[in-house]
Amino acid sequence: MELEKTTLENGVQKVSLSGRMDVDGSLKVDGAFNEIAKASKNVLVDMSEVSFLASLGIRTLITAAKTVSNNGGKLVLLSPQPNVERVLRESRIDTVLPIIEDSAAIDRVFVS
Amino acid sequence: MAASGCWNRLFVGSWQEIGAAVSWVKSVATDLNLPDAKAYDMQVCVEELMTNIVRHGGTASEGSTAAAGQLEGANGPLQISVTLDSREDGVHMIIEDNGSPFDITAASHDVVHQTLDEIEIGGLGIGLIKSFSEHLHYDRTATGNRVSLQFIV
Repeated sequence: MELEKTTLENGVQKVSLSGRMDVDGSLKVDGAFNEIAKASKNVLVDMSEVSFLASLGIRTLITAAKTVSNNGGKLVLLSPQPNVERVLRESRIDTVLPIIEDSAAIDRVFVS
Repeated sequence: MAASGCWNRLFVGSWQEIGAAVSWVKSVATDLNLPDAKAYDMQVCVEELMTNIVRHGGTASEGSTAAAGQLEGANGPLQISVTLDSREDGVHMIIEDNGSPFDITAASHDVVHQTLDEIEIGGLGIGLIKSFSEHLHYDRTATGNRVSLQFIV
């Protein structure tokens, strides 16, 4: 599991994850992800290269989202693969972590 | 309908082995030419079941002579047997361990009903197992736990 951070023009921190967000993968990125969350107001998590997500990966996302929320911002998920999106919707995580399908919605979701 | 066949593999009860078990299930699903979504469901369920066993079924023991990372079960080093049985009515997954008693079918089915701040992290895995499989069944055996579930293909 790999993590890459970039800062978008609107100040949003984009975290691009790639690989399997399983037990090993989640533990590998937890530390770096939390550090980014602590220092950020709004975070966009690009999920398009995440091929697998299970509960420990959800834990990673929720932990970061809570931290960002405490900073007065929000964490939004971008373009999850179909199977990963099923996990998000079956667990109803999508009710607390917004999912957008393309970058065109970034400004709208972080303004509202 | 998937091809018939039965596969079994024994895994050490440790965090390190969960990934190996998921990879093995994925490879069997590939051999069976299962639809991508069904193969994914099986991987999620074996990951969540093994995570649950490792988290709750064993205890760390300094005196253990077992392999590094292996936990102690109720009757010696924690071990997890995974069986995949492909039949006409789908693929049956049977997971047996010698850990502490835990009836997964009686555990609360957690899905998110709260706001972000109210979410208690944990318990989501059991909800995923119940969502992604059919006929979840639990037996307490003489040596541990036996969970069976079905994936209708």
